[in-house]
Amino acid sequence: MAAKYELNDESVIVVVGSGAGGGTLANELCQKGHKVVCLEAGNHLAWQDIVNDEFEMYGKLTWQDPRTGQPIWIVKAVGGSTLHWAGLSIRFKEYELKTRTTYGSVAGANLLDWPISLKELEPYYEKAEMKMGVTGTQGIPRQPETNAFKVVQYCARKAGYSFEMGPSAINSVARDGRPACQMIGFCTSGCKIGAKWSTLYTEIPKADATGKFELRPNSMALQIQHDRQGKVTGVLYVDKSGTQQVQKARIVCVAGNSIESPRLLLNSASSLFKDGMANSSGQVGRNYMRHATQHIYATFDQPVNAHRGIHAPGIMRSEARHDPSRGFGGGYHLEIFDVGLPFTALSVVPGAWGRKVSSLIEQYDHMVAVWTCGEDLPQAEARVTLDDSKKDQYGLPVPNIAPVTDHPNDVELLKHARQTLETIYRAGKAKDIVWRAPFPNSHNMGTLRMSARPGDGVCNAWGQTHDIKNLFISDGSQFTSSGACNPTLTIVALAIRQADYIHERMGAGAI
Amino acid sequence: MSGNQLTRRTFIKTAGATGVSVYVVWSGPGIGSWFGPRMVLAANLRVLNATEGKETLAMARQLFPHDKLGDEFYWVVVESIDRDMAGSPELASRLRDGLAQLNKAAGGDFTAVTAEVQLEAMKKLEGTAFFSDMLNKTQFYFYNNKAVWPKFGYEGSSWEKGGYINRGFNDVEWTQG
Repeated sequence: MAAKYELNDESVIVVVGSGAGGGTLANELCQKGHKVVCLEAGNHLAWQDIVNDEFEMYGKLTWQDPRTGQPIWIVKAVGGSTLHWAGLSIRFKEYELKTRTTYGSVAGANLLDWPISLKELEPYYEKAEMKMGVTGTQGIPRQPETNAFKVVQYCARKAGYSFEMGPSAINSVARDGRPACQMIGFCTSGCKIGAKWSTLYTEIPKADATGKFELRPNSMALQIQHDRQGKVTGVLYVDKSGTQQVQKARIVCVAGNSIESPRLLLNSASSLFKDGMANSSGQVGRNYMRHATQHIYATFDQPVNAHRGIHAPGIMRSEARHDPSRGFGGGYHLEIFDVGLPFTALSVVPGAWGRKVSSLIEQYDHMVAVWTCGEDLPQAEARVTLDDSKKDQYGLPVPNIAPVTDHPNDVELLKHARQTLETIYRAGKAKDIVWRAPFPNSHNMGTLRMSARPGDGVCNAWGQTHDIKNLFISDGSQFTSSGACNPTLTIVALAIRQADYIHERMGAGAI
Repeated sequence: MSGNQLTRRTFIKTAGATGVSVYVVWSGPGIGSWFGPRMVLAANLRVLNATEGKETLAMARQLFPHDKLGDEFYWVVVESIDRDMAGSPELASRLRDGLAQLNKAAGGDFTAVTAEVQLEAMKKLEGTAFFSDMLNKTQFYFYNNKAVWPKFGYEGSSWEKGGYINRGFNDVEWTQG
């Protein structure tokens, strides 16, 4: 029982994007009785659209609109990147929310403390973990150990380290109307049975059931509009038939991922907001973070068959701490992460050919891989801007993601992580250890960051923009630091918290 | 316009500062037809002549050599590249010119020389657009062939078999010690 709202209905809340942030926020607002229109640029996939084929799903999920600069992978579909994510759900630690205070002044890094403490976030982490069914939290059982986990844990144990299964938003038992994981092995291609949490089949249908929610797929937001006082009034978008429409709004919440969200604000520049909307700080698009990552494979004499089961079964926590004696600030998680043969073959040694590559691929079923998720320090010049030299299919300038080199802190962190992992692999008698270049960035954070002072960032502790009261940032763009944590859990926690805030402020007549 | 509304098979390459390459394929109708072993394909080629087909095959084998796999798996690559060439005169002329260069670099006939000479000839052309086209296309068409997967222990689609929950997701036993 989807709702249907008029374009000139000024009482609706417009949410741009339906992923971890937008999908969750929309549902939470609907549950509180608010009217929500969700504009989603991508398709609304059905179950039969999800298949166990990496490249076919890559084609269905990938955001393919043109852009320039660093390689990025984000999803364009109802559910956003929750279709692609691997499910790992790790809470930020207190020091990761207070990087400026903890790390001090670091040259070349635009460090800033979040305007939220862990204590304030904890109740929302609990709600998010319950909502998503995160294993190993809230009394939810962990998954059984997979082949890839057993092999990595075997190596780690020999080296004096330890991995754990999860924590993962993949059902270990039937829960919330969704089945337990069947160890299908295509988590990042869209879970075929819905065992992995995705807003596509959790938040979106729940919002629908309230009768308050209207989802408009294939609807690309082009510009946020405002009145003479600078208050947001609606969103100009292209609907599924290709026609431009304006949906009026009481509040607009932007959740288009950390590339498209700042792009939308920059493309909303006007005579009143010459440098883009909500950009009095000049921070819109800046401080882009993506995590310090690397993917390292190891091969073994004995079979592994890592493709059987969860892509990212478990993590190692012990290096996720701030210990400057290691030569860098912040820390990292090691995360087991294996993909299918097609993706592995195309990426194991990028650009290389010959027997060196083919002999590695012949060991595919004797191979595991571990990914580093390390804190990436924000740099002011790591930023999303508009590339006026190139227009997309709507005639709008495409986003450019400045190809900034890794901060020296990231470099040191990755070196340490590599040494740790090599020690682990060697202890388990790995044959070949292969370091490959990073994947295109899929953890995108920080381009509209939270700040206590309006001059340091774009939004406040609730994602409300400093400049415009009825404009909210509702995705990972809000992040003030990246932590060493896969971002989705924190995005969901912030969305639940933001919904409480919007509800309260609306009730008080303040928005 | 979103990816799965496109009806033809297309590659998009995004290469950034890190040198990572990612390939996206959109599957149009009939994509299933290029999976599976093909034995005699030269007759099916539309752009490449039979000699060029054999040269392409020989180069594909050197790019990603798997001695245990027969030529039929590499013919799939040749046929797919030929189909791409049929759709792009620009690509067709670049690859045909490249093959001529390859023969020249090998002293006349790339298919008639030893593996060592073939490798030397290929190294001379590394960095050319021809070479990277051949590399990228061979890599994609070869390893995304469902008939190839089981040769490397990859089992492909699993949901219709109930995943691996009862089929070996945790059957590794050598990690006990």
